[in-house]
Amino acid sequence: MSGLSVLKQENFDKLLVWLHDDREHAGQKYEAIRESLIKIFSWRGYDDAEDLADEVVNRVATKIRWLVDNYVGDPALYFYGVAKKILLERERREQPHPLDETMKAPDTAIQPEEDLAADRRDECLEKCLRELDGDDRMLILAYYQKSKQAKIDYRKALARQFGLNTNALRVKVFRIRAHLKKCIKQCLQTSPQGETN
Amino acid sequence: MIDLDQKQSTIRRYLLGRADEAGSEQFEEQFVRDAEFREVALIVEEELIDDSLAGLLSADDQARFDAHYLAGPRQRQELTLAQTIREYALANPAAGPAVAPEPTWRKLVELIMGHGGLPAVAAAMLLLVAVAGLLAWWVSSRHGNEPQLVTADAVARLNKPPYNAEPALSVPLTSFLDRASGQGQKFAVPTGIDIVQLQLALPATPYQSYQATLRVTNGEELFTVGDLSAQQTEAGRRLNLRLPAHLLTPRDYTLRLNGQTTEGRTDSVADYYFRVLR
Repeated sequence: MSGLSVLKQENFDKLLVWLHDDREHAGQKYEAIRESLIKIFSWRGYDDAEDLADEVVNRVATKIRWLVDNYVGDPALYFYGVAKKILLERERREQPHPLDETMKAPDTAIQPEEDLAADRRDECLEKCLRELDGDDRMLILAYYQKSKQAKIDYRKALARQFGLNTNALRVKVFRIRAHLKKCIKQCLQTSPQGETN
Repeated sequence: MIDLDQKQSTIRRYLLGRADEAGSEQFEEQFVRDAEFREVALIVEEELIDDSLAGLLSADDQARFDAHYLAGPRQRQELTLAQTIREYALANPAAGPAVAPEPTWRKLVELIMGHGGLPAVAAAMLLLVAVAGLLAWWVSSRHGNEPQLVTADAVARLNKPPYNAEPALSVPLTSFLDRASGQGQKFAVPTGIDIVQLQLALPATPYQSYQATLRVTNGEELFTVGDLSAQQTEAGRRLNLRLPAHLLTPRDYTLRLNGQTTEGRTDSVADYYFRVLR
């Protein structure tokens, strides 16, 4: 919420009511919209995706009185419309920075200066794996085994083992992994280094 | 149930920077407003990262993954995290379960009937499950789904030529993507009117048939009808959707149109938002 410091509480409250009558649902919807915008800005290559998403929220909030009376449709789409406008303004000023050669995907060999962070990541991963339910832990670790065609066959067998079809297996693994990643990120934030990368 | 395969290629095209601007906007718009699609997109994204780490991407896809997908710092962070989990899992193969080979039909029968133990008990349990299932279906068909089915039936009949009655009110609607942000489409339904016709402006791409789903914005689905046809007019492609007027009570509505291709594929075509006034 740092980028929202200029946002008036009154406007933000109205914005939540606009999203949903129930405040808890409204909060969830707000988070979903904000996370979606961050993803989109990030996929479009912007380093300051969170700031841009907050800028969208700020602009929507300043128009909230007008929106409540006049806007028809899914509020999420209005947020997206404002996001597109901000992207256009940004593109007029500057181009997103394409990936520099030196910034390419980390290879399997981790940089020496990242060793400490890598050790910390491993510690957090082990801690978070221990917190998982036994079946979930087995499943997530098994999911990564094998490679190429063997992996495809292995995952089919894995799905049968867990009484799922492959589609349901993919969804289940995604949800376990999302939980695991959230745990790791929280662990890293409380670590002495406090960094993820 | 989420169908991952149906959406996978579209999502990968976007993530690898292969979608044109219109395709990107269509993807992003759906990503923002549709929670189920959002989850599918995030699953496909994770699997794309996995495939990259496992060396399963083609050379061209890998190049695009490096140059386009990894342009954002959050994506690089996701890659590092996925790499950490993958390396740990590969270094600890014993932690996973031993996976059994595919059962033959004989093994499947054994699984259902037990290993020659108590077939009568197994059969009784199956019967019990079947009866419970039938009961649940009967209850839901009598209570939960009935209004929606009746509505869908009525709308389907209204849209099947030859038409028995002409609409007294026709309302032109443009899709969300074709109108300026924030411009609402509002109309009132005067009393005494039986049929309202929504004249839906369509994108240029034709489909063999169309399917329309009407829901209250942020609320329940009212109906889904298929086998709808479009017409080419001087102003462009149009689909006329005839609705019973009593269905359109004063509220905000979202109408989604899907198109069916000749190959049997279903594409999202357009969304329309409108408010019915008192």
